[in-house]
Amino acid sequence: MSRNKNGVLCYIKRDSAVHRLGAASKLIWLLLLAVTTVITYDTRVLLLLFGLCAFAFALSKIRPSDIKAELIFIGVLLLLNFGLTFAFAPEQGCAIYGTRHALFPLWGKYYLTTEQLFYSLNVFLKYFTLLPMALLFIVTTTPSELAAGLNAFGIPYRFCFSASLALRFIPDIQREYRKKSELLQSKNVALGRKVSPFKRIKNSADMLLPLISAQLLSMEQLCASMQRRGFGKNKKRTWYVHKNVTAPDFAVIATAFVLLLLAIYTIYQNNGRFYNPFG
Amino acid sequence: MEPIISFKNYTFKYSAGAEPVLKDISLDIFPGEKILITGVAGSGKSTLAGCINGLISSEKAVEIAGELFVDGKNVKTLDAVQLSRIVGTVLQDIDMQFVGATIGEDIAFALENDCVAPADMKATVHRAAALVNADALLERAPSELSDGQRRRVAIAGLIVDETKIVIFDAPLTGLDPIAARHSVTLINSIAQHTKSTLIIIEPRIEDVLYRDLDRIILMDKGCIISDMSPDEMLCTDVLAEHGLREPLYLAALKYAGVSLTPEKCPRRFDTLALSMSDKIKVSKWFHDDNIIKGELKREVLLEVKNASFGYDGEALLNDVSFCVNRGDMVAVTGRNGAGKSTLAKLICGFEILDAGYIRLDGQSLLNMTIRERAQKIGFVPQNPNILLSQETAFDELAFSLHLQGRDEGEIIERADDMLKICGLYDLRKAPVSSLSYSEKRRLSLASVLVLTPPILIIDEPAAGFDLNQYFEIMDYLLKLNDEGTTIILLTTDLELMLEYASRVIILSNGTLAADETPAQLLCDKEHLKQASLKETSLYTLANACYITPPEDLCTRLIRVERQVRDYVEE
Repeated sequence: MSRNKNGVLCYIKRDSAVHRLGAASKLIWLLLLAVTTVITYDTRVLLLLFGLCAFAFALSKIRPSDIKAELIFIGVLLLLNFGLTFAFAPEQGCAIYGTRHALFPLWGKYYLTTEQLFYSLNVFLKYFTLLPMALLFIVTTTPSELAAGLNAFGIPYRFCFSASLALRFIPDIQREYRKKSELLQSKNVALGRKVSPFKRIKNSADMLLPLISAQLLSMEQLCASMQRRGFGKNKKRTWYVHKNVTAPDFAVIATAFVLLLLAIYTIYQNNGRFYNPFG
Repeated sequence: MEPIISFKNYTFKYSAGAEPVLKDISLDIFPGEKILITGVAGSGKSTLAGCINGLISSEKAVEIAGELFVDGKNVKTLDAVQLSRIVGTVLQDIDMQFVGATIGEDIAFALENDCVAPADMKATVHRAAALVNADALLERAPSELSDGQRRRVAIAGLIVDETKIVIFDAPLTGLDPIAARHSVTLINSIAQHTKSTLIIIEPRIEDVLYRDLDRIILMDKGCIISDMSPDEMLCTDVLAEHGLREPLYLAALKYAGVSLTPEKCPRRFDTLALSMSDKIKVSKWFHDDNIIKGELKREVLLEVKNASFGYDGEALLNDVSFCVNRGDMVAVTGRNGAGKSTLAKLICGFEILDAGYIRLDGQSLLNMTIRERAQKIGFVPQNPNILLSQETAFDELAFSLHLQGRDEGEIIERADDMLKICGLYDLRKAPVSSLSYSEKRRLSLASVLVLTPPILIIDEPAAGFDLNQYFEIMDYLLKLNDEGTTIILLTTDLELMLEYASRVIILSNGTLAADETPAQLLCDKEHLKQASLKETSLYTLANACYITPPEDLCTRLIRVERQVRDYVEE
């Protein structure tokens, strides 16, 4: 369906409950969720968070295939994390949980233990809760909504608007690049398929520099246009993309707080950040 | 009454320029007036507007003598931002207009800055968008819209701003004739709605006069040549003398020897009062000449078969089939957004067909890269900003030739020749970024023409040219065509099709509506409507003078004009 031709992560338009949420409430949710997932290693809480994350994806109508590349990237990052942890501290799980259930020896001093596996499961849940949630935030919130949301938090609107401009700038450059590349190819410049990589890189670079300088120039023009249309004349401004706070917004924020409290409670109950099923 | 705009012995010069761009201008414009400022490219008309809205005069490296008052204030005391509260402008280079991420946000931008409550803002934006027939576009990004759509939307932004003066700089650039009529109607009703003083800068006089104006101000070489009511000015020959195309029916009437007076109200065909003896004169002039038609059989060069393409399940092109013969000059027409540009992109390989095929010389293009296709197909897009990549005009052409591996001497010779043909020779060392829109248009055309590909696809060849340049470029294309270049013109200019194209392919909502000769098209009201074209005023004149078939009057006029041009050149 949706073909993101530039292959970049950006807003994906769908009609869903998640898209309809205010940017501010989504941001609060994301920030609180980040704190929660970072502080807790309680597997039950993490499973709950993971489940909620999956539910949010289902609600948002964003399919994992829409953000395939990013998910794979997270997976690779995670495998790297597992590999390095295991290489340098194969007994980390045992150290944390204070017991040792060896499953089978691998080689030398390396043993696979249930504790290590269980610890890895926790790390997996953390990664695949927080990062996809951040991705979901990006693909369901337009830069302008984000700006309006940030402004609602009291961040000066000039800053918010600049941030949204910067976010818009990236796909703009990519689109311009694509258009220009096509047209230059149609004028016989060596770019695109069937060209040696070296030549292609050189010619792309030749094209990219004027493109960026042109974009900067157009940024200047944009600023002039903005001024002419009254940007900056008042201390405040309103936002066309503003959304009224609705019941789902409250529900989302309340849930985020409850989850954070739950995580804090489990720390208190577990006498630490880890949930220990072994002892 | 006090004038709202008053130039007093105003002279304007870029510090780097040799000649002033505006020379000793004295002009008063009164509140509520509707004014057309016209002239060829480089006549100073855009500069005049740029002084009123402060976009040019507030730049640094300029020298100004004389005074300019806007809304009673000397513009020297105002900066561009303050002036923008009084003067609203829709720029010709529409790319520079947009600040919002979506159309809705863009229209709302001024309201946001005025702290209007979001609910009221949405209502206002919807009203403004409905006025310009853009309510379905509110959630789209400016870059996703066609030029025509973007022009409409920019007008909606003005409605919301409610300034005392509105300036439209070349608002009809790139619009098809029906869209141009809509636009002119829209511009007028908007000015009435906001009670603004209206200034339109535009060389397409016949289209602008579709609605009544108070005055036409004709400029040339930085001076005001003439300042009269439309009825008065159209009785004179000043427009044609200064390189502008006067309404076609008037050209025919003048050739036929019909005397025009302001009392005959020649500003529009439907206001024009022709006596019986006038009609007889036209009829007589027409019958002085016989029209010969002939057709040649040629071999197929480009074959488009069952071509379909779309994004997101939205079909942009649906099962389109047609052939272009070697040596043809074919026009592809259809309203803005009908699929003309998509078709060009598919042929050039920027997009890949979902179904069907395109063959060149019997060979499928499917697996050929853009570059491989480019050896045979040259493409000139409508928006010149994208194609140009070099520092100066000369470099731009030399760059293209370099890539073809030509030697230095030949490069210089061919680039200079091409610059002369496109009227850019004096600017060959000028930085590309300093060129005007029409100069950039000509340069992008030149940069492709200089490569002499066997097939040329040109998107709106006439946009951005004044009449003399237009004839020069089109005659050059005709010459290339005679020498064997196959040319595909994407255009909505009916006169251009009648004069230059041997066949017209009409697209309507992504499907092929017709494939016929321009003369057939002219008689075919159904197809004209589908292509969003209007009958030319000549057709109406022919009917009024009982000339059958009416399209022959057009052919007649074109031939006479060509003879006159050849005569002047000799």
